[in-house]
Amino acid sequence: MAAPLVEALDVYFSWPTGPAVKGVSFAAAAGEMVAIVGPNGAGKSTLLRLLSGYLKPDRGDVRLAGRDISRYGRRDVARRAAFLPQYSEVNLPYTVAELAMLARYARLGPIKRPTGHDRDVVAEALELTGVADLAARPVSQLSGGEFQRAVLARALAQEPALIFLDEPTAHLDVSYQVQIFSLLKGLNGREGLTVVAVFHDLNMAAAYFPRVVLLAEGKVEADGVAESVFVEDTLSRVYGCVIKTRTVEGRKFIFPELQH
Amino acid sequence: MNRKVATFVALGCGLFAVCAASAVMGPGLGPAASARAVVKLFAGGVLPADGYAVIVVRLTRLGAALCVGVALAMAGTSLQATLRNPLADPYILGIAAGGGFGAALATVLGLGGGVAAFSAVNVLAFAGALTAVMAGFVVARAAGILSVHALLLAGVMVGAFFTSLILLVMAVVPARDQHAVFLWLMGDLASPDITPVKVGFTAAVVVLCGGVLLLLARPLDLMALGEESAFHLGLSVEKFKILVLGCAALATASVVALAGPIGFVGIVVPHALRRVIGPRHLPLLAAAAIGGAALVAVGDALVRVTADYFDIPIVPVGVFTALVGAPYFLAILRKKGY
Repeated sequence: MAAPLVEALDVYFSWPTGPAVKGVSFAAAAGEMVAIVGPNGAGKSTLLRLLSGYLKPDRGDVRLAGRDISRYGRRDVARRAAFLPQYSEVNLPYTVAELAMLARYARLGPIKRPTGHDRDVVAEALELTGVADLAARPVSQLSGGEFQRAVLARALAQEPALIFLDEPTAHLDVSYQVQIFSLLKGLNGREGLTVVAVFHDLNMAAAYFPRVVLLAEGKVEADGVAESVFVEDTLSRVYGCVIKTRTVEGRKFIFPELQH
Repeated sequence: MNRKVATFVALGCGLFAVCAASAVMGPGLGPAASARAVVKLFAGGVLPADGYAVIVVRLTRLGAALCVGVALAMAGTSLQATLRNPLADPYILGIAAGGGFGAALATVLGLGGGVAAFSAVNVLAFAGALTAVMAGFVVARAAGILSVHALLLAGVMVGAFFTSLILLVMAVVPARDQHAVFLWLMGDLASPDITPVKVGFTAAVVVLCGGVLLLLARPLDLMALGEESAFHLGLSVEKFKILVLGCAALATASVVALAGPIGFVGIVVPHALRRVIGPRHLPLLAAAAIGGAALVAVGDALVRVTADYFDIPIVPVGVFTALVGAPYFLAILRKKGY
């Protein structure tokens, strides 16, 4: 059996303020779509940064394609895995096309000039995310939704096998959320792109992600198909408030009971 | 012809014009005779002793101006990207104050000697400048990570500390020494202390550091996305920061040691050129090198010619660059085009 594309083996990580991840094991096979959910402070974003190699675990190992991630060069990792942060900054007025071309650094390095192939990849990424018309526009002039799609185009221009997303749609309206997740789902189906995403919105996770990992206080509370993880008892206990689920038109909806 | 190409052509022509004008203007040898002498010199011919001396003095000074301009403009551009702060200039890490303290110390102690062709003032200024940068690095680096925010704050504090040391020295020494230190702090290319050997050595350091910065142009582009995104796009961020800050500091320290802290070149040139060249660092760094060299050379030519013409003491070129640079910067800011 092939090694998982990315895996964490009993990893621990503490911030100066206290432990965040306390012995998590997690693996995603190539072609999987996994949502990581849990309350604030459960260690979701920290786990994502351990998996992407940005943070080094205090204990335990993180492996990418079966090899310790710290033994890869930075550009080696970036050729395989992209990361879409919750908030992106772009300090200088690059155009949308220039921004996406920066993703080719993983393949070009500091010196090599972009070839026709690089430009094709960038053009395709802009096309997929629907920002091709904005290619020559400075990113400083984009709306929130356009900007987030431009940043997604940049991630796709890395030609990753794996993409990490940290609440990528937290500040986007519903139509953009649907657009972005439909796009990722399409890439997952067509090209086998592996997606590991951190969420607050449990309903989005249930709608788009076949597999859900529920974290609580730095540990894995449940891991499996959305149907088995989103159980009223478990959710209510983990979130510390009464949470109900209902199935409407074949989809599971999760909502808190209102407190009076 | 697009705007970017036009800018490069204009900058190149401007630089050539100011170099040519600088070489042939001034007392001692008329323009036509100077031009013939320069051509003959570059053709490898031998000049008569008196003509040779005049031309060598002018070209040395021009060479120093070019080194200063290239180093400050490229260092400023790189620091603005790496520290992600539009106010960053080559002196933000305390280099000017550190160098100033070194120079003040060498001056008031009347230190002779030095290293090879360099005087004690050069050597101590260089050492002081690098000490200030290292102090900032030590404070801002923890657990293998250099925090650029901490580095900025540390740089300002280290600068303030060395500035008070300069004032302390000034407070206790005779007025004659005060004046010498004061002139040095303004940044000056008129000093007879600037020799061809020193300029050649400084130019080598500046070309080396500038070359490395040009090779780092694409990583500098990535830094505008923030360190975490740059990391995820494949940049070894910590190694990159050490390399780019090291090159910027070394280039800056070497020109400060040569000519004192000439102000405003490092902040005005990148901002002015970013508006026409755009934010990508390969063309921007190249344009900044040409533009910085041209600005300092123009400034030096102007202060030199006005001093000759009106028969007044020469104004240090650092005063000129700040006098022109600050209002220009304010004008850009007003148009919000930076």
